Amino acid sequence: MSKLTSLEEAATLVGPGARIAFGGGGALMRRPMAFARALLRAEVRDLDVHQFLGGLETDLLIGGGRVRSTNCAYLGLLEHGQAPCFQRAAREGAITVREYSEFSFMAALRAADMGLPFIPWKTPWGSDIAADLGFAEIEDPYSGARLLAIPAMRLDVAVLQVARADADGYVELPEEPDLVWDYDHLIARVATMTIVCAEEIGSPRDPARVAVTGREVSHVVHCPRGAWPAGMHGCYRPDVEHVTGAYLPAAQAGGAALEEYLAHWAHGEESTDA
Amino acid sequence: MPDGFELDELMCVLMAREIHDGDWINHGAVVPLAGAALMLAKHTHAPGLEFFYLGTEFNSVSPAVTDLGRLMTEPQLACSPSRGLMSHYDIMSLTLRGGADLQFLRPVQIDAVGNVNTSIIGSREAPKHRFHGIAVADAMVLVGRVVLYVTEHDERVFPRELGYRTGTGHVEGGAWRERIGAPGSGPASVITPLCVMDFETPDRRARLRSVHPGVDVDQVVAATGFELVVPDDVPSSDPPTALELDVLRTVVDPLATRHLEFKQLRRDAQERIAAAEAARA
Repeated sequence: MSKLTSLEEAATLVGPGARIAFGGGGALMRRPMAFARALLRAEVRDLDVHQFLGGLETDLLIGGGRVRSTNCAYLGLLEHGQAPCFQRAAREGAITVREYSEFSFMAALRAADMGLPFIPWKTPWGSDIAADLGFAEIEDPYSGARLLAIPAMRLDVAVLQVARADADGYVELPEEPDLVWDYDHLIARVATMTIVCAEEIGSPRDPARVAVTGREVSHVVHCPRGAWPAGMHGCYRPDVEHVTGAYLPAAQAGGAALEEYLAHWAHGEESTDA
Repeated sequence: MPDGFELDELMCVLMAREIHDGDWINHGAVVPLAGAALMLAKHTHAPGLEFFYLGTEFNSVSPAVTDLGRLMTEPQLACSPSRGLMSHYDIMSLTLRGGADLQFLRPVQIDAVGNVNTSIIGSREAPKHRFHGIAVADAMVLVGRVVLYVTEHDERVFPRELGYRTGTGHVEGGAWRERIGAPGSGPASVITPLCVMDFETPDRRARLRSVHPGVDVDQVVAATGFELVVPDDVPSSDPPTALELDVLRTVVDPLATRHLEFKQLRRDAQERIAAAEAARA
């Protein structure tokens, strides 16, 4: 059954207060940027963003005032520095910041992936992070050793930007298995609703490279250049000039400069997503 | 710095010597001083070391190219040629099983028992600066030996009390690690611009192992906020050998990408790397 829908329609399926996760690799790879811009246009508010490796899409949504909380193991632009809107919102207390460690984030996803309420885990023992996230201690019934019980992560929505998928939601692995590509599969499996934005709609060329099946996908959007200004392996490179020359200065300045950027690139006629 | 070497070179060499031949190391690509240390070790005393290269675009095992400047300006080299690609999930599982022998970490703050803060500066309610979260909290529990390093040494970096405890050092000595079955044995040493510290005391408190050439013990004590254990006889840190300097300068890091980790050298390094990228394109 075809799950094809439009970008704008898909964005309206995200309700206020949704627990949402975005796929994405390196700082500027496979980021669902067109979808983030559509969320800005759809006026969705109070998002609880969950990101293993949060980046440009989350910073843009924070800049547009759409985010209530961040729940991330990392939120920044890696080699391009800090995420300016996140830093400002965190400093001003405009958002709630819940910081995970990398392993505890993955633990919470693994528990959900296997249909478990929680998973016994060894980190982040002794860290203030464990206390802040309220992880309980349990006893190993066999050895008596102490462990942390990390609760399963519940996600309402997962959004992936991929190179190729068919109308039923079968997604092909990227040609080059880049940084944390496997995390995209996990959030697709765990979320109640998974939206796949594909550069190209078509049957997978090799069944061995199918990474996500139609069982996990609710909606498919044909979304060429949807990662821009991030890049997509095998399709196009990141537009670093736009990020460092246009986005970062506006995001760092905030106020009118940021408003102008969002009006131009997300809301305005210059938006490439309509 | 006397004797024909720079501070960043001395620190890099001292870090490299913490590596044992045959170690498996978790390495994140965004810390080139640590990267230079491991490549240097591989070319000198530890040819058998292997490392997971957690790149900005790829995760691989021991890329064949060991010139950090080339890895930085041609990121695809991190992937191929290498010994293999690994998913992030698999690298994490391996680390959980106790498969990572060593990791370098550069925290914002370190206390007297090796607890570290990599999260915030300022109060928890209204932090002046918030760092993006990283895997430090996990590494401190899971990785065999954690080698800490900092590129500034003052009372803010080594305070009496941390602003936030992201990662756990030697709380309760070794008992805590046994109780939770932690694969890792915690922080092994700290390399700073002034000295090397370790935790070789009965209660695992930081001890001054050596001071760098030209630095005296009082200077280190004065720059350290917590009470440092100072043995009667503190040796001078062993300077780099001619071979180590040559390999570092000509093979491993001719572009001196390691300068990115030093505040006063960063801008020049960025310009140098950008110029190298432009020349290649």
